[in-house]
Amino acid sequence: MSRSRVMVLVVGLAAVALATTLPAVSDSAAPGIELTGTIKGADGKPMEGVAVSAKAEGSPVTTSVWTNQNGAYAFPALEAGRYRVWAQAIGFSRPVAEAAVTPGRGVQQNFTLEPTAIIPRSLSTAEWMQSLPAETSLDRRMKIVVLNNCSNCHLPANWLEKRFDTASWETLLDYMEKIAPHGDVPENSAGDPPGRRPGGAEFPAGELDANGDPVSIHTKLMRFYRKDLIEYLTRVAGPKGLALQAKPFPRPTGVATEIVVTEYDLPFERPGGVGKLDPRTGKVSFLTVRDGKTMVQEVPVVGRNEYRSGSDWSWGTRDEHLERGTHDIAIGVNGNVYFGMNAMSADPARGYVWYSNGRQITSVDTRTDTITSHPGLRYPLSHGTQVDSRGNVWGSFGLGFVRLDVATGTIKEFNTITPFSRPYDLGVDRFDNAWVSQLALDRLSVVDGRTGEVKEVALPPFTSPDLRPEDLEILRTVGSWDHNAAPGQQGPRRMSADARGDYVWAGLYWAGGIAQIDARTKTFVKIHSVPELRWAQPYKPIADRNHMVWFSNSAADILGQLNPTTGKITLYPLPTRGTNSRHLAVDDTTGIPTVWVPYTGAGKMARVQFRFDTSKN
Amino acid sequence: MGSRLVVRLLLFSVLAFPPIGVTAQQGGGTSALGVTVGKLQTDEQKRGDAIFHKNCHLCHIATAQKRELKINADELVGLFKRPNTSEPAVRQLIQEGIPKRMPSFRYNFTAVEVDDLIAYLKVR
Repeated sequence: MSRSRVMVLVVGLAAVALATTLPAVSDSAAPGIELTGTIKGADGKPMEGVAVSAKAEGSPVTTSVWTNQNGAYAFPALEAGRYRVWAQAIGFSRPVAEAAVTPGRGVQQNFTLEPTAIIPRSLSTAEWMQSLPAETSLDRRMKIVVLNNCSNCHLPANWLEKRFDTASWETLLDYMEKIAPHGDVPENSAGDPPGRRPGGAEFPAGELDANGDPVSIHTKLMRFYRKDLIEYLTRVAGPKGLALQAKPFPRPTGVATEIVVTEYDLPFERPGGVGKLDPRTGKVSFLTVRDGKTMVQEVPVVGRNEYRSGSDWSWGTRDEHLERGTHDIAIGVNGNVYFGMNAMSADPARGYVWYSNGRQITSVDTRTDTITSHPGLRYPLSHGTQVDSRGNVWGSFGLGFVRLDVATGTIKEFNTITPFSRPYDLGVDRFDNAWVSQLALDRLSVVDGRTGEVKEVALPPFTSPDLRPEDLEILRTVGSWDHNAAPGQQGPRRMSADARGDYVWAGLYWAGGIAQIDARTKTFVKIHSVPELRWAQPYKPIADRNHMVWFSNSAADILGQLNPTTGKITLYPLPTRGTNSRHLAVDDTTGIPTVWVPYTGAGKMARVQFRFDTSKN
Repeated sequence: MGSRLVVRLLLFSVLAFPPIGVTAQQGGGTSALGVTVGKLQTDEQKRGDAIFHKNCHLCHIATAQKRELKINADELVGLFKRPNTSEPAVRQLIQEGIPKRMPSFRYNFTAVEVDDLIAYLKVR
């Protein structure tokens, strides 16, 4: 046998081995016959909106469906294998079964769910927040203070389940003050400007933070609310127990149950570079550049500790920094999902995925999996990139906008009118105007695509009868940044522009809602919300080809759909607890647009498919 | 060329491209945060791993920022291999904490959860 034939044999054997361990994943959401069943309560009545999940032995893929009003569920076509199947609803038992699936042959797996006491840590953060006491104005105010000061680094559902006495809460808040981020905008846009408030005004000289640096927004807010927080936390999560009347969201009904969620486990150990998931197989590769050439390395997806997966809600919300999911994602024209880099966006017309990489704007040509970097940034990007109709790449950074002319490599900066505004995400509308969310100011800044003129569009202030004069004073004199915000802040964080429509959309992180701005007139239109979004921290909104606006929610395990014509908001469940999703991607090439939801709080990303025409919802 | 060469090439293909994710969260290698832990074998250890990484990581898993600020605590790797470690003392420390340095977890964990945490610490 020749050497080359042996190599072919070796590669072939490896390919066969991988093919047998990684089953193909159905790309159709249509109900199959392989695995179906009915869910009833202990009273024998069918239960609607129960999550039913199935994972084949050794597979990195979990598929979930929900029961309809008759309590019936049906998985899409499944590959052969031995599956673990479980049903889940808050306040009920979580039965687990095993089912041997053979394509073309039906298996019926019915469950009966017994009612149980609600386990507090099975609640998402948004559910936990609405379960906290709200009888008095002080209680309602403190919920705002908690969300605005203690949610960005760690979701409240992750830490409110803990109970400490006053001395221990003091120890913890001392630690928080030390580790509060402080930076040097624009070198590090995530850190707040030392000694300054948003807009640039200087704080009175002399006050230092716990590390001896000029005091910053984060620290000033922590110090201002420290006493109130310690008293409150000792009361609601202290020695006397959790002050909680569990109020989970209602189980989904109607069209919200007509979805299929396919969750792909991601590798825990990674070689660095750009991740690439093949949704058809669940295989993951990483793209890196060595000696000027792009290398593609497949990385095995090895099973994780199930107690840390979020699949069993009773284990609660994890710490996002430890579970190695992914923050940003973008879909390539090859159907693969690219992940793991900052400020990712897709340019399907040209086949590229863009992201930021230090002081470079970088692309992956998804037709060839080739990485190309464009150096020359004065400062690293913040969180957004997007391509305009002429192929220019825009990005947000600590001072405003940058625009890269790809052909010449020229980079032009456009500063926001108001400095120190925490420019965050970026979108480009169909008129080629570039927009940036100004998280610290409750504004959006826009660069006119024709004239280069910069303008700022203000959102209305957040108001609440529960805010006290001192809260409004701290808003005026200290303000907000990204990790801490004074009560009274809306928090336009992630955003995008409808590439085919007339509107710009921003998730309101602190207030809970989706802001709508008219791209033609550059004016604010309205804020859309429903009660479930109040504490859900809506994050990245993206419009699909039908103008439906899809949005992730970092503090609730739900995917949102906003119909901009009717104003209707539909919330779809995600089957993992503590997803902490902070980005999104929409695949407009499928018959019904498919939505991809990355998890930062669990080591997975999710594909959400719909069994009905979402353009009519 | 015989079957020995095929075996050699297969071995080479495995050794030259080690499966990076083999350790994952099952332990037995270097985690993303640079801590070497033992292999998680029992359900008790796995539950303890989940409890540790939800309650203890803030201080006991170091990051570059924590090191720079000098607020990283002992990572507790190999804790029970140290000559002066006693299980009752560790249990007491979890319950009582250390004034101004470590919170008391006396209101947090059930007896089973403390057992799980100890089981994990023994292989961390």
